[in-house]
Amino acid sequence: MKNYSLKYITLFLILSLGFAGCDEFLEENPETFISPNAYYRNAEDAQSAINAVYAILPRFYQGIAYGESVFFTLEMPSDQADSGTGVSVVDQDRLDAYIYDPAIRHLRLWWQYSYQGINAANSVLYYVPEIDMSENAKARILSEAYYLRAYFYFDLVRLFGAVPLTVEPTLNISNVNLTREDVTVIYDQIIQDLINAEHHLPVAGSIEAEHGRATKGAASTLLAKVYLTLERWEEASNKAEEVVNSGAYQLFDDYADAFDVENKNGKEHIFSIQFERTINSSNFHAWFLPRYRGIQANTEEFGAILPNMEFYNSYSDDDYRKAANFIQVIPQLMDLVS
Amino acid sequence: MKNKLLKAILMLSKGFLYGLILQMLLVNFASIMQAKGQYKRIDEVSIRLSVPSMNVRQFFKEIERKTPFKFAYDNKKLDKSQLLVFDSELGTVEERLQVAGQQLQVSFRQMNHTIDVVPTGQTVVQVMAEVELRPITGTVTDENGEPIPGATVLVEGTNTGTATDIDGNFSLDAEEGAVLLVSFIGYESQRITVGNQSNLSITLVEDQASLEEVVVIGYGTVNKSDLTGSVGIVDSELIHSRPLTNAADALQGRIPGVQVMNNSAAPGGNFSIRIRGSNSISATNEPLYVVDGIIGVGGLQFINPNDIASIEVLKDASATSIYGARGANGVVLISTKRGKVGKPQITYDSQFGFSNMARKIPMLNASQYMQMENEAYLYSGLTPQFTQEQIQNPEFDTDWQEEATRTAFRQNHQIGVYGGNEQSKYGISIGYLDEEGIMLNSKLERANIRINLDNNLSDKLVLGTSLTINHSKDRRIDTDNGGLNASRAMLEMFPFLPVKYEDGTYSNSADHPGGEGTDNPVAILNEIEDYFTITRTLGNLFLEYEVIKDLKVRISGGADINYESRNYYSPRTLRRTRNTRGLAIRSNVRELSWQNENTISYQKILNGRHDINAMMGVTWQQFRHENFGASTRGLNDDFFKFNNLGIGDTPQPPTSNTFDWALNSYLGRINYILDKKYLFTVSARMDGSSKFGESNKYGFFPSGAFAWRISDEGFMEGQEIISDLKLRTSYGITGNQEIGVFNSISSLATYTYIIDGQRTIGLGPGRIPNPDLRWEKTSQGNIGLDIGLVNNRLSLTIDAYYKQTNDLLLNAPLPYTTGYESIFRNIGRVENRGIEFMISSVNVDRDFQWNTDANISFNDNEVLELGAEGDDIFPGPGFVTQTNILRVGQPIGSLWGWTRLGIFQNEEEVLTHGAQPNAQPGDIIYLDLNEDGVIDSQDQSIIGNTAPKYNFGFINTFVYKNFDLIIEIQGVQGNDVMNLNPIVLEDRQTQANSYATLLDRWTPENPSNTIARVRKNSDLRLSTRHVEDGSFIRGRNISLGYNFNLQGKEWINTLKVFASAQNFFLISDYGGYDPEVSTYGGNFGQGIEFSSYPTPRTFTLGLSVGL
Repeated sequence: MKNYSLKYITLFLILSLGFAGCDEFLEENPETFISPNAYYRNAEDAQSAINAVYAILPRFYQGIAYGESVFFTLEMPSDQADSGTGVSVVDQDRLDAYIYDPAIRHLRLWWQYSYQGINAANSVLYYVPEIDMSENAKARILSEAYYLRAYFYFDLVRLFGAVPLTVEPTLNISNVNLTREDVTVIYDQIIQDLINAEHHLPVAGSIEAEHGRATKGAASTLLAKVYLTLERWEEASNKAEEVVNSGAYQLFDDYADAFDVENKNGKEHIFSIQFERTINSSNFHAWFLPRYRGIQANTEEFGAILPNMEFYNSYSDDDYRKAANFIQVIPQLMDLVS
Repeated sequence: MKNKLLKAILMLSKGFLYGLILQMLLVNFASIMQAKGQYKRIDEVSIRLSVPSMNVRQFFKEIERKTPFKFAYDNKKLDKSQLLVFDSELGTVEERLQVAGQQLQVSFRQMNHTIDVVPTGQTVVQVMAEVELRPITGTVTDENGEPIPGATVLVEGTNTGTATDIDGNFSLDAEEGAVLLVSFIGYESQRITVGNQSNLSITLVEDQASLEEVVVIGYGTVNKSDLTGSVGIVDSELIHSRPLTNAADALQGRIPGVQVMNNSAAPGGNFSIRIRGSNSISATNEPLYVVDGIIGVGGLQFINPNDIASIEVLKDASATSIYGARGANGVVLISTKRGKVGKPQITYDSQFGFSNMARKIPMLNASQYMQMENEAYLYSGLTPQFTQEQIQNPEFDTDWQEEATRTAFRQNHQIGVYGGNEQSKYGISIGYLDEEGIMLNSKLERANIRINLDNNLSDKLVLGTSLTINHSKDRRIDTDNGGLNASRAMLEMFPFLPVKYEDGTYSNSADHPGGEGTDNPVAILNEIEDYFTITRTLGNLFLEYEVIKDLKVRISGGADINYESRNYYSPRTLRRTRNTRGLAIRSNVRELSWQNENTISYQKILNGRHDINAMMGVTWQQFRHENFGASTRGLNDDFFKFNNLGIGDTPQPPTSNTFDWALNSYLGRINYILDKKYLFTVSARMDGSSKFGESNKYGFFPSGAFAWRISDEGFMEGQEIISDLKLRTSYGITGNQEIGVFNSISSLATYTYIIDGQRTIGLGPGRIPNPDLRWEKTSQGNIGLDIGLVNNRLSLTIDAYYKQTNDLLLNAPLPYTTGYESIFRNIGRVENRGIEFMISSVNVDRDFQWNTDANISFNDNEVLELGAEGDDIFPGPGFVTQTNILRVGQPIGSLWGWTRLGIFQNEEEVLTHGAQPNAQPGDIIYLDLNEDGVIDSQDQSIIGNTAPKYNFGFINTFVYKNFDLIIEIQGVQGNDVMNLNPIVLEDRQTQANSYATLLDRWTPENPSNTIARVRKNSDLRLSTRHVEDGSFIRGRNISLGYNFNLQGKEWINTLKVFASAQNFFLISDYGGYDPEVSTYGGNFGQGIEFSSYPTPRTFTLGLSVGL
């Protein structure tokens, strides 16, 4: 009998051991990313939150596939450019032909990237005010977020007209279906954001200004452009004058210098989206080169976008911009293999 | 006497378990050594001692030498070095023991010729009851009178016993009235009472129950006839009738409802398995793999197929619900070979094979290409690039498919040793595989060691272990699918360029203006080194203890440890890495999955008619993944490859990731059989998964089944046609939890930007939380019939099922205005319904034997619900336009695209059509589906379906004298394949080479209605042109073997040689290498090809030796 009781004790122990569940066992503890609740604690967190908004900008100028890029949305239907022949594309050919099919990725991605940027900016505006940090630095970061939100909405409203307006970050899946707001409401928000942005942004060329970050001049310039779009001529003129008179910017002596890689972030550049070959490269220039001619070293030449001949011919031969803007002689073909 | 012995043993053991076991072993050992001859009593035998004083050891030895008596004692309790002094020279053994006992303070007890030494503190020398033993001889035979060697003959209630010799004879001594227990595996044991006869003739009857196939089900086994669920089985013999590299291959075409697709023909390439269709959209559709009880082994490429004893596939909910939240896609159970009682069996298996390209795709040669390109340039108003001289006498005319492939060699060796006795059994094997791929330099090398041990620590305690270590090194070339990889370059590279120029540099297609710039395939294959080295250890250990009769507790622990590293180098000599000056990558993955399972099982037959088999348990499992990667460009010299990343001047940011998931489950099952006719199974599992939301961690998955053995009913007696008839029904719910980790919780994502020219990191929106996230639920009903006719010469299994998957784990799209693209939610429903047939027939059963196994299965799939609005979802893989669509009312696997109507023959047709105003004669006509006068996305529709209507397998085996022949044919019918190749190989002329069919292009003189005129611009719309019939019938395997006659040779048991061919024919209208293809992999990649690795035809010679 003694043996039997021992057996039952063993059995009981095994059972109780096994069935004693613990809640922690099934809890997820991510170690490679951080949840929003555990973040937005200090000045560095605020800084990286605004960096994430800037990081959306290059997406418009990077490739989708086969030499296509989202910014072609505006280039292809223009009178300046044509879709390159022999390039393996479908969508941009249709943009070139003014076919606005909702399946065209360019349109979808412009929409998507814009709202990614807006949501990221909204996150900054939502979380950063609560952070305990230097008020100056905080004001600047919030101003940058206002600037970028206005930047994205300005493109959206011009491309799509009435679009949904959201000034809060998306935190969960309730209430995700937004309706379109009137164009004037969008513009009011843009103007308000830019006015908010102007105050605490540094002046270009000042010690605080950094290449890639928004400046007071960038906000004012964008605001001038918004007024111009709204045909509020006087406000547009005043704003533009402010930028010109700020002394922060100057024109290059040579028109072509504005497009020279050597003059990156130069005196004439008010706001530039930043690229570095080894970090976030873009094939931007390759799309403008004739296809596979071995002209330059670092990227494929897609020949995706070509100047429209009418547009080209509209320049008189003595117009300096003709020489500056176009390559007139196709570089020497590589010799055929003999 | 029996009781006394037991008491004595209990006394010795003092309740201590292991002591008891040890002592029983010792006693057993001692007592079995005798058992022959007339017993003498210790008081009858006199002994003369050599010296008057000696130690215990010498004393025992001397008695054992000079008398028939042997001592049995517990080593630990007896100090054998103690000195004994005897006063007289001569005396009986009893007197000697009396003297020794006093000095040692022990008692002695004689039992037959064994003298037990019992440390009691006092001295008693006694002779246990009278032993009237008589010698008994006998013969054990089977029903046919054939002797049974190795049968056990045991005197019941004692440890006395023996085994029959080669002629079935035995002899032992037993007292009159004793009961002999005669047993042999596969036969019913017999009890014989010893009377006055001295020569026994015993006939053992085959035990139908134990001869019957035992089927492994989750957490247990059942006799095949007691199965209530739908389980497919591939036995050892069938598994090993093909040379295998991946065990999944052994399932192909053999089980109805199980579709096995070899999606990369590269060595070690992965297989995909679908059991009864696709249930899921965003979670996996692959079954759960369980190897020797280790759950969730990722794929089968790490299991040496030679080690496999059987594969069971659990298909219906009754069978799979014991795997709960992971059972919805079916379960594949792998059991490896274990040792058996008997003399050691040594096996050696060796295979040598070679393979070559089974199909080649006809491409344009150099002159033809140049001619086409000139024509295209002329059409486009450009100056042709080739002169007539070049076209007529091309300097090079390279067949790239020829240059990039080879006849590949394969060898596989395996040594196994299997054996053991009643106490312990072992199965040990070592294997080595060396397999070349038919594309240059692709290669897999693999070595395995496996050790399976089983120990009966006592008759109640069993310890078992399985351990396997697998090491493989694989040079892969089938990565970068869709990119300009070798299999793509092999078709697209210009034929007028050489492999290498005179100066030794490789050609690339940018050497010709307008070429897309791919490196040539030979250059890619020779120069890119991409090694995957994988070490994987699977180990499992269990202890099973019979607590009380019929009740067993089993505790098992297992681990799956995976270490993978990748070394990649693309040198400066290739165009792709010329400007970046090389690219070197090193990365590794470390994974650990451990599990602990604790189960209690109870098995009892009550009153002869209630057969109960129940189990319950609790299990824990945890998986952890860690990886790390680093890479660099800008290497000064190709010498360093991936070995010295520090040499690169442009290092890329390092990458790393870590995650884990855990499962905690409670499970139970009751099998109840009434009167051996009515079979009931109820099973359930409750699974808790870390992958799910806070509010839904645990899910419950029950199932029930009923089966009726109609053939055992009284009314079936008296007829001889139906020998077996069983009806099976089941219904149950299973789950799918196979999505990534952390999908229920919110996270921030990492962003990179440049500020002041420096890399700057941002943290921003990543994922929003879904605390309601839970498993996908599949409910399945199954009804099946097992029929055996004419003594089971013809057997038929039919199963029909209906499955509905609810709460689909869908990576559901979100409005982009949220800033997010999608979120994992439980929305949507999918159904699968189908019917499966399997027939096994013994067609001829004489000198010449012919068996046929045939199976066929039909499955229909339909998406019932998608998201809240039921909007279409385009799940990818996606090319230039969408390849797949998910639409309510349509099957998963629907293909999406435009409809091609033909070719415009003249201007008038262009005008009539209207929707393609810029088209010219010779261009492709697309259907303007919505008749709005424009060809756009509104004109796309469902143009195909990659899911087959039915799959079948047809296996014939023939045996004549020493020869055996197996012929296996496998087929898939009614499926479409989306072949993306024509996009580049037919409609993108001038940038790459084209199909030879381009010779039949449209020209004003050749009004083709299928192939457009050659032109410099291309058309990338996916259309009906790209959907091909993927039906095929394949000669899967043909194997002819010869078994040498080895009668009279003692040192060798079996010797077999065989020759076989795999993929020996392929009947298909498909235009690519093989319609069984998935270039991109994943749930929707099946049946979508973009220049996959070509399928080989393989010939193998093999040798199999058993010692």
